[in-house]
Amino acid sequence: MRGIYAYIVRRLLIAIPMLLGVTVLIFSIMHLIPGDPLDYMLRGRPVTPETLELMKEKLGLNLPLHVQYLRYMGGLLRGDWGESIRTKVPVLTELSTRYVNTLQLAVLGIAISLLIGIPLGVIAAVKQNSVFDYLSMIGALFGVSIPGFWFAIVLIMMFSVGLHWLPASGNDSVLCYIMPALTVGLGGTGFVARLTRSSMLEVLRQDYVRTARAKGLRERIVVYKHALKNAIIPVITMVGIQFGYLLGGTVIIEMVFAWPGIGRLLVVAVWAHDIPVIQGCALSFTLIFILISLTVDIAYAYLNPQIRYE
Amino acid sequence: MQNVREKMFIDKRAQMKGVATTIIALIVGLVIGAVAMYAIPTRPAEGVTTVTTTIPGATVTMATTVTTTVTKPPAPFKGGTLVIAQSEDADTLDPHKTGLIPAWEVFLCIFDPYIILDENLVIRPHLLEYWEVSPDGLTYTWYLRKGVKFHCGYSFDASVVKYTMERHKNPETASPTSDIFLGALESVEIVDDYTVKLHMKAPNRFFMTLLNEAYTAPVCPACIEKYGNDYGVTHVCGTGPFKFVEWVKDEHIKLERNDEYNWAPIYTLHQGPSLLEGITFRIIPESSTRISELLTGGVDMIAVGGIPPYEFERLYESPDMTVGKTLYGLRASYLGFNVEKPPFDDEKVRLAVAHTVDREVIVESVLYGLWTPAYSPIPPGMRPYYNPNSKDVAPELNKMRAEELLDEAGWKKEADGWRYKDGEILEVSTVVTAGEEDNMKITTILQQQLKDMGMKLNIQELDFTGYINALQAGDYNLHVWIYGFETPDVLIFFFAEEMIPWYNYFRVKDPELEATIRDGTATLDTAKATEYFYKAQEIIVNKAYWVPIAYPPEMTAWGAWVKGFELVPVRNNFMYMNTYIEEAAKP
Repeated sequence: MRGIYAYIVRRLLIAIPMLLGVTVLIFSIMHLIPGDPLDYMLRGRPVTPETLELMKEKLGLNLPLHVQYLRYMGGLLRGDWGESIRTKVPVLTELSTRYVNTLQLAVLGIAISLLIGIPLGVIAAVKQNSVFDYLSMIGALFGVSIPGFWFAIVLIMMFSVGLHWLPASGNDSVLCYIMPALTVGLGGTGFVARLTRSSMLEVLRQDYVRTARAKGLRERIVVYKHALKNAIIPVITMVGIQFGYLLGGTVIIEMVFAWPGIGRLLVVAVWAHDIPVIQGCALSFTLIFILISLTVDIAYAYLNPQIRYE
Repeated sequence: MQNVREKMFIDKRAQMKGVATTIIALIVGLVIGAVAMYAIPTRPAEGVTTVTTTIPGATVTMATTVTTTVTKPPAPFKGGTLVIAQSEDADTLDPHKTGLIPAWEVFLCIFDPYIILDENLVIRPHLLEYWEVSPDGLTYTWYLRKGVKFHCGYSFDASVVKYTMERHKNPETASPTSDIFLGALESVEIVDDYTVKLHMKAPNRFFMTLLNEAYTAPVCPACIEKYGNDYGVTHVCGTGPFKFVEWVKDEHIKLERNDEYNWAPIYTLHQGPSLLEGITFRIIPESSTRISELLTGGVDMIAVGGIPPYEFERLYESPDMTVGKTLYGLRASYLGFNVEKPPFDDEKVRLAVAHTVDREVIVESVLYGLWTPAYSPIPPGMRPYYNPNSKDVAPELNKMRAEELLDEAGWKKEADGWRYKDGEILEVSTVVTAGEEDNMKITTILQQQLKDMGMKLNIQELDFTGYINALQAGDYNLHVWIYGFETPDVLIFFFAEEMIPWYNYFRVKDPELEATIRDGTATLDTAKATEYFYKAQEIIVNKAYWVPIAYPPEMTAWGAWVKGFELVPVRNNFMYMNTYIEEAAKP
């Protein structure tokens, strides 16, 4: 087992230059884009040139770029992620109050996609070319192709405005979770269903499956115990990556449902040129992504004894 | 071999089955979709019962005397909680540190301004009982109202006024609003507990008018000292009819009634605490979601500016909705030229554009007929400085004259429809930004109107900060934008030479215009000031620095279950004093 610990350590060490690269990238991009935080803060508010200079100085915008960057990195190494230029609240506070909300959506979305997608894919594969197979794959295609934004608005019109069953936005009651989770899970379900199906099809053709059938085992055990365990491997890998995407990709859904998550924070931060917040989001996304892909790779090794990390 | 053929045969049958199923599924899906559009069941409208309420103990006094009439506040009235949808979250609730509208909407509720502007923009006393101005306009003496308390119990007096104004102007605070509101103020002197003297740098007739703004309202020194950097984040304290309760970022801002409040202005229905038990601001960024929430009763009202113009038709038709539109507004949209860059360095070319712009077409086609065509850079709300006869003095739609002017300027129309001068095509550029949809639409129509005149307009779309930067850099020839304010002295920011390039995107260097605006601002004589501003309007349109396009309306909608609310042109914190929620009428 020592091999795997060394592997984990190596992966974590590689993470450091990755994170560094992310900070440099964000910093450069935000300074290449025209504009600065004051343009957002002063929308429609005329100030004299003197006040403008004063405000720039207070925000440290007059310092040379490398000094601004080093200041930020110095703070980061001390555990200080800076404060939001827009709200003056520490970046870590802004992130921590919102991450839970986005995480909830992402987890629900993944859960829906797995709970619906995997059974759908398995049955479609087992009953290949049947009506069920074709219908479920068409459904999966729709799920992947439908724009989340549009789907979200349609759900609101149907279930809030039309039927008065669900609240249109916010997150104060359990009912508020239903539509956002469905929207997040929509694309994932389609994707997982199609992937499970094709993976199962491949596995079901394998010799050892034929052997299991020949042994006289019941079809259900063949499918679920022997075939699925192997078919699920690529699905797990992709789901891990999907989770990472979802953390950043719930932006549209958060905007439509007024969900107080990281996606919304990032959108406003980009509008406002709020670089510390953008950096905070990017760094946390990268960290989470690294951890998730590491977890997935280890799970992969566990599931498939043929894979071993040296 | 036979097995393979059999297999192929079976597979082909299965394939045909599959194709047929697919086609049937698609047709069924389309039919379901089409039917669903019409067949989604809506809840039947329930009968609305009208509840008539009398507010006990209210007296309506029309006195304009100096003595403060304090009527006994009525018993706590169960008016419900008003939920207002905003499109954006405030950045901070410290009134000295922000200029953003969502924050201002909250300030209207929790702070009291020194004076109130009524619907004719006449100054009425509020936290000031009365005031005097020295003849040279350099000293104001304020007599403050007694018995006013902050939400935390601290008393309002002269020291509070001094503290507030000094903090607002302090360079350490770096306030984005101190220049426009307190730019003319030199210092504040305490005479006694309820008397303050304000010393001005120069006379400014608009100084008192602008104190209607919640940004300048008195703040609580005790709370600021106590909360430090958390003031405006976790706690805010004012003297207004509503108290701050909590702010959950990106979610809501909760306010509750200030039960000690009994110093409302004379002309509200009553002077006691508000009828509403609280106000909650909910932040909903997507406009269709905001409207869905309004239609389902999830919110009671949408903040002004939060409803796209095309949605109003649906709201007008709904019996559950009330749509409010003010008689006149304080905003104006204009087409501004970069007068340093050819071809608009030539006044003739600018005037030609002024004669080409067809405002009626613009208003009817992309502004849903809701805006009013404009001939003056000053909006009608800026009374009495707005010239109601501005149409007579401004260049009007006159295509023949436009063509004449362009020909005179040397731009001749060629066979391809465009104009050329010395072999160069008449091509100009503009910038638009996605956040300003109305301006984008206006610019698109303009492009067509200019094309008919032989001028080619290239439109570039940028994000907001990129847009501002492009305006400052001056890399374009003209742009369409909107500005809004209560007083016309704001024009100095747009036309003063020293403001190039920050707000004077037009690069106008016109000493006569500057002097006219400054003289109008400095004189305390209203008739003279009106003359000066009439003149300023004339200069701006006749030299065609700007072509005024239209005045946007102030409109919003609220549920029919919200009673006692009226949309006034100059919003102040008494908008909500007579408002209450009729629970029975909610959907």
